[in-house]
Amino acid sequence: MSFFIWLESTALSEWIRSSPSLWGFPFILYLHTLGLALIAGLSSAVALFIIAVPGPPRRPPLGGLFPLMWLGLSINALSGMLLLIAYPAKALTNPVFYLKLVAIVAAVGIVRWLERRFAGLPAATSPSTAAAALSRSTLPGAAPAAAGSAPDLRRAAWALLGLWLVATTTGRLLAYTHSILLASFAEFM
Amino acid sequence: MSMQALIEWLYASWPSHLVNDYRWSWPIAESIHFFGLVLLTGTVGVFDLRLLGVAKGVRPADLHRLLRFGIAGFVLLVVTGLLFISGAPEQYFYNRAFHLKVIALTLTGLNVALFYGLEFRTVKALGPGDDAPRAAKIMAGVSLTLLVAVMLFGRMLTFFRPPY
Repeated sequence: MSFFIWLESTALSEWIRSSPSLWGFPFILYLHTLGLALIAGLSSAVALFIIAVPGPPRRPPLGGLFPLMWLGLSINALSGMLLLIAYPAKALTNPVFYLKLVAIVAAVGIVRWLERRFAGLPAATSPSTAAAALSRSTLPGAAPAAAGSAPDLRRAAWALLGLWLVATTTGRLLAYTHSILLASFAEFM
Repeated sequence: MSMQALIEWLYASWPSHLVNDYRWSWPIAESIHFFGLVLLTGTVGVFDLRLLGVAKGVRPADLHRLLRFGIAGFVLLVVTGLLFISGAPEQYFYNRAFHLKVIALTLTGLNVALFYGLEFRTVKALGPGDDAPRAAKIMAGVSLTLLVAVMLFGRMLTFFRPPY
């Protein structure tokens, strides 16, 4: 608790919380939404592509989207850190926050796995070359990065969508489920 | 109908009661609103980015198939958005950020109509690696800009609320 009280008393924490400037808390919140659209939005679109666009195996040349996803993740790590500095006790004493973090870590792991899958195998330019690549990858002794096939991708895609649903829901519910807003205020209670 | 009458009518409606009378309905609707945002921005964003030259190896027509999920996301956004408005109408009607959001959404609608009217046939026929026509690129750029603007004004709603 004393750590939270100290953090809340820092100039940065106070500025984010109480500055009347739109560049403070409002803009940081906006960045968090923008980052969400990039990492969760674009990777969900890739997941939907795997699930819904026919033509096995699904290894579309979507690699160019991943740098934008990582940009979104960076924006959200930074803006999330700033929001945490503003109200450390609010999030860190709330179990829902940890559920959100676990969902994000798992989702990011899947995004990274998808990126490696897309990069590790030759781009599917036609169904025949794609089928050849798939049969190679299922041979005994094939490189681990190339192991697995379309069902793997579909499972990963569904898991990713589910994890983003959990992450956005728990993230939104943080505003409603905290028991402490400010540790320095709770001390007086 | 005057603005005051409209506000009173909305407050008396069942969606207003749904979001105001139950503790968790507003937070759940907000969560759904954000998941709708993920679906819509993701699918529309990927399509626009392809037209602008990102992930050019994919046929735009294949990415266009994802837009039905974007439409599903849009339905979630509109339904929950209307719930919020019915739940606290004056918080939106007298809110500068809301006005800007409605303007940006209207411009988005016009841009979508222009795209389907003028460019969709050409874009649909593009193969892997093909460049989109310049007009389609401009529309994709406008679409992405408006998407970012709608999110900005939506997020700013809280900070431009009129006093209770």
